[in-house]
Amino acid sequence: MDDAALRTGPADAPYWHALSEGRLIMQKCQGCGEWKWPAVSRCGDCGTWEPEWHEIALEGKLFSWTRTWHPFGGTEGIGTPFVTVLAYLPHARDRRLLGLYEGDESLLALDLPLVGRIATTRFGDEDIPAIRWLPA
Amino acid sequence: MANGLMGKVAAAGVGVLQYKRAGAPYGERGVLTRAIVAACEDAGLDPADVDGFVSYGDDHNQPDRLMPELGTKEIRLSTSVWGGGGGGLLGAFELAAMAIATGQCKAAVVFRALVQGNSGRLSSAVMAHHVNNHFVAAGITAPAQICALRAMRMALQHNLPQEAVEQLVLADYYHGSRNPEAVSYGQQFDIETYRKSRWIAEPLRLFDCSRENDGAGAILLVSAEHARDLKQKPVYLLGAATGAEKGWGDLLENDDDYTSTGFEPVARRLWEMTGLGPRDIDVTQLYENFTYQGISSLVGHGLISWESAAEDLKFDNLIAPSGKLPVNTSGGNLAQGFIHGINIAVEAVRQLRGQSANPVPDARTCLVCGGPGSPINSSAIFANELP
Repeated sequence: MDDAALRTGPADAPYWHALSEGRLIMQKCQGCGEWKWPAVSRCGDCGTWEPEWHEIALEGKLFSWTRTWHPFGGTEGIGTPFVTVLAYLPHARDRRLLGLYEGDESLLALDLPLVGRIATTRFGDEDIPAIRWLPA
Repeated sequence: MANGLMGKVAAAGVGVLQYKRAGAPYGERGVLTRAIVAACEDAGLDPADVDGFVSYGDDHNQPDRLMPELGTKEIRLSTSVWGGGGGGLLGAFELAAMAIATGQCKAAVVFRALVQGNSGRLSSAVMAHHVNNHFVAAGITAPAQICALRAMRMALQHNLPQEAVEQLVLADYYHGSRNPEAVSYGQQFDIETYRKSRWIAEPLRLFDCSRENDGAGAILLVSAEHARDLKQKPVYLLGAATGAEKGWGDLLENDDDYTSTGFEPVARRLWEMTGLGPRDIDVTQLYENFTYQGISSLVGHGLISWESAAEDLKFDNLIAPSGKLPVNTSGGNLAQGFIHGINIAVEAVRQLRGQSANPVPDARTCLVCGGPGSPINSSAIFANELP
């Protein structure tokens, strides 16, 4: 993706671009220092335009989880049952990111330390860049 | 604090047609037209005199297309509340009441119609409103899954016992079993049925989830003065509020209080504008898209707390006529039927007229909560006498 596409795309275009290259970047406002998520083009707290992106380690802790059993449309490429985790990122003031979970499901508990790896999820005909969370 | 709606507007008529999902004998517009005409007949008002139309949740029925069949003389209010979920339910009442109270229109219907053959599955429509690659990449494609993630956090953070959640299901099905208009009418429902039902997304089982019906509902609102001249006992709108505060919204699961359903600012304003508090509510109609979200709605309005949930959520306490916290007296979204929540507003009106299948003795006030967990949520208080 070229620079022009990143500027004119949605505010989170750089996130997807980085993820597809195997890196996690998150937005931190250079005006007030606040980590922003979802991505924004203007920081609503201090009014700074185009908050900067920073690469951070793919490390989190478990905030919540669910195991999906019903074969909802669009999840055929995953296959049920599967576990989705909402992880909070201590490196980005606990902003939260979703991801599929891989690993021992008996460990699922609040604040379980997690590490992420970047993969893709099949949705329809598309492979979407995605985070997989694993026990640290 | 705004209190300009207090008792100015009343519900004068209700109409509902409900069918099994994909079972409506008419198209969506046909079902809706019948529901609006039924609401007008209930009130004793000519459908041609309805001059205001308000809906929510991406309803597809543009009011001007209803004009030829209703005989509408003039449309003066035609609008809808933003948002794909049920959060706009009581916001629609707020808008209609604002228009009537300020003289912008005289007779407004709040409506919602859903016929799968015309509009597809509601869950898909709601999700299309919110879903993006952040969700899809994690296998999340349905409202039930998002609500499950939130429900799991409620259970773990607040030690909400499964037994407390079950009590709400039992109360809904008890009320539904006694309501001839409910999908669960006449059915015996025991806790083993619930416990053996299949997982949808943990901690939600099948019976934790509202299931869609075809149908339409309409509530006719007019000025309080006008309502006193019509056929039914007026049910006054004391107050309605819609909204969200900072830290809540469409935030990719980054809401500040993830166990909330977004009602705190709405409830705060509702109490301020009516001068009432949780103890003044005689009966509550909860929008339980999913059980846990219904429970969080009660917390958000201060009717219970997370700490007291296990004690307050007891079957005997939740049912009419004897419970102190009667909820969902028609059976609610779970056991009466689900036309995107319009049914619970209809039940509020019937309950306060004394026409409920599960009457709450001497009920004067009814709280109705719409949305739970939507980016925008709304609530209203109705009463059968002016304070």
